[in-house]
Amino acid sequence: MVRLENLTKEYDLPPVKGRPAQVVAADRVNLQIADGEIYGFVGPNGAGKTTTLKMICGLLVPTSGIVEVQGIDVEHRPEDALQFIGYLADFFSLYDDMKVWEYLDYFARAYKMPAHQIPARVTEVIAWVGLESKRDAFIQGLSRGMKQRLGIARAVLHNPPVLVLDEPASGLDPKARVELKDLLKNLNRDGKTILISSHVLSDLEEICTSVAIMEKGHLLRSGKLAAVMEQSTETAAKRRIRIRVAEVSDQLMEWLSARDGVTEAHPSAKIIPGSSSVDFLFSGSDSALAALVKELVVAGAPVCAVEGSAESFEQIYARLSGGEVM
Amino acid sequence: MNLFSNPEILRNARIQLRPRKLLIAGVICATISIVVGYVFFKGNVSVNGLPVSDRGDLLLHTILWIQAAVLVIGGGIACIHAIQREKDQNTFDFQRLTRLSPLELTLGKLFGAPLMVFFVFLCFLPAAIFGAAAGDASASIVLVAYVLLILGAIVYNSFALVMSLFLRRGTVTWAILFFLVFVGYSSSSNVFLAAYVALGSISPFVAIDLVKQNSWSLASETISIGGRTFHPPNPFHDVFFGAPVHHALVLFILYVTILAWLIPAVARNIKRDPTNYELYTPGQALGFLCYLNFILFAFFVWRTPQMSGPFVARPQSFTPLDIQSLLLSTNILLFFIFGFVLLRNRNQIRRYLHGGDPAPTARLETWPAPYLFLGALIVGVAMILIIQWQRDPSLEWSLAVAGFRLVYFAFWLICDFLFLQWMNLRRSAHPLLMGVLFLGVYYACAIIVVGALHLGSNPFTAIFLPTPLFGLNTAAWSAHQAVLIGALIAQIAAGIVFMLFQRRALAELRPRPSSISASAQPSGVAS
Repeated sequence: MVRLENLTKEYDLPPVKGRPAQVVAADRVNLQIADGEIYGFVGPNGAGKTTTLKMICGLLVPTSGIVEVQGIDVEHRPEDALQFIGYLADFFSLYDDMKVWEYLDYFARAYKMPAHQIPARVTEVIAWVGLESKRDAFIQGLSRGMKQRLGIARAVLHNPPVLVLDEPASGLDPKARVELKDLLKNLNRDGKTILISSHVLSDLEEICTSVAIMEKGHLLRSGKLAAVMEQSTETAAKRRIRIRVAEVSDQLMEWLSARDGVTEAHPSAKIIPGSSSVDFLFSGSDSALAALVKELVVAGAPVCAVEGSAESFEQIYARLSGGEVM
Repeated sequence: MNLFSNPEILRNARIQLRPRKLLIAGVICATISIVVGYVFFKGNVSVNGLPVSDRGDLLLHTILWIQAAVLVIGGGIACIHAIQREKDQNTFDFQRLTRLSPLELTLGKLFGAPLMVFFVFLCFLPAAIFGAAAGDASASIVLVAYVLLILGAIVYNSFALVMSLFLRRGTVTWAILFFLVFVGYSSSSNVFLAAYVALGSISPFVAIDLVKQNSWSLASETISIGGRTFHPPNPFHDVFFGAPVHHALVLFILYVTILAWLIPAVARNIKRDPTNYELYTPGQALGFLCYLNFILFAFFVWRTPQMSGPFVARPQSFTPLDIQSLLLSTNILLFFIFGFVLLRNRNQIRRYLHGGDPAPTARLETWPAPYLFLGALIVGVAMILIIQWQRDPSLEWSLAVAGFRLVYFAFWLICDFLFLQWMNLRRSAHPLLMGVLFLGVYYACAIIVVGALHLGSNPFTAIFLPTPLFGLNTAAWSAHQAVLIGALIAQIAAGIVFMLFQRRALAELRPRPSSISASAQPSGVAS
């Protein structure tokens, strides 16, 4: 269990054009992340995702608020809390002049694993991330994907129940991204709680069980992915409606555009041969939509079907987020 | 805690002590040792007339000098890089996240970063042992010299590690230059200090002078030149509260106690968020100030020290008032160290204000005045009491002058540090640096103007500069009491102005009013 209570971080940015700026990177963030979740943090650059993740790890001290990991206050008992956390930063930072096994051996010792278990654990983790052939290679000779896998190996080395991964997919090619997703799914199956931030929303939608959408230090939405999407659709001021008709005419378009609550009406591409459709945004209730369709039929439009198109997570994110950075 | 199983030392050993690197370093050291040995024992015309024992001494001194340079300078540079390079490479966060205790990580850096330097030091050891054996050097002296050299190098390396902790990106070259200047300055003899502090050099290079000694005696040597005899002071003759004591013993105790201050300073910060670094707590900083003053007081020549020597035209005797002035002016540096440790940055103040710290607002607005005042009071009163006890009754002394000087000194410091604290709370890229710069410019301008108008000892100058206070005597005090008290009031008034500025800066950092209502939201609700 990871718990954030009124987590706030304010700091100053270097002055731009001589004008210094004060930033609220996290503004009274409240979250409870249950065990076994894959929790995605989404937001534009500067939204406060990295700051929040760093505060969870204890790398940054919050201006105010509490972070608890497995019931331990990270700020006040860091060494107790850190045994439960594995962290991967949003950059490749390894000791280039060490060998792969030496690197993991160092962190195993630094995490105070029992000495007799270290060689076996290092071998196990190297095999798990698929770097057996590179065990004795110097890190500087590894590819980016391999370095990222080594970073993940370091993060899971001491078998922490919580993994904090900041932009783990950044800089990886598509193949490495697929491998990364598989790695994360495997880790989650092993019972790890994973906190992950990413810009690749489709990847997050695929693997996350819950999400938090952040902007300018605020949580815009948070909770189970399905619930966030459902809530976002329900609360949307306008929804996208598609009406399939036998034929789209100019009169139909004019008639629709003149109705209350209808905006951005336009013919859409043909989906089924012999039929056409019209897409528009509708801001009314379900009964208003039913009345509109009834009027349309009465007016003589050859209506075949009416569909409300579901928004993808990317669309919901784009709608909720103004994409503003601090 | 076993140093040899420290993961950070092991990591450094794996990186630095790979067989190829060891072989290259070993060959270079052996070559240098052989060349130096050959020069002293075979090839150099200038030493041809010397007996073998003197040649052995020369070899020992040369090798010891090389070892000292390697340990102090090489080790220092390695330690300057130890934390700063990790921060530059973004690997430091991962070390902070491990379960290594702060002390383990600190010791790992202190002894791990200079591992190659230690290896080079060991490589030169056979040549040094050969030189000592050939020169019939006293085993105990050589052994103590090595203990002092290693311990001293660890002290200097710890200082470099403290620097490394606080370095920002792109400042490492300046830090190395500063460190080299510091090593050079502390290794040179200071005629001015030597006149009133009976304490030898604290540099580890003093080990070379130690092996030049034939015995542990504290007696001065007698040198005859042209029929005249001279008794140059024994550089290892220190005076601790009037009692003679060997400098080697003093140095050993000093090194150990300085380490006891430096290592905890790194350890208490090394795993912290860098925006939240605090070298010492205010109480520890006060303790450090008292420690430095204890050393100053312990080795100070209280009974009429005399300024004499080749660079002083006329020996000058000091009155008790002069002694106080001397000690206070030496304390300017110590109090500035103390003051800088006490200063707080915007992030720290934010945390106090947001975290519901029960510290009363008045304490934040007057920071760091209370601790500076307390420090000045402790040090100043101790100073006056010792002077009162040790003074020659025939020489000029006035408790009123001493007391006024102390109070002025305290408020002058408080005024400067209230200014610096206010500057440190302003929003800018380098607020403290700007504050120091402004203060430096102010003092430079004031000194130039006062110097140009020949007002150095004019009591009115005390409104702008503390210089007249350091030369104050009873006659001047009686004649210009009102002006001097006015100058003190001016310092207090300036301090109050900076306190008000600080209050305004604090208001900007207080939590916004909306946060009070919003923070009352139940847990689990996205804001």
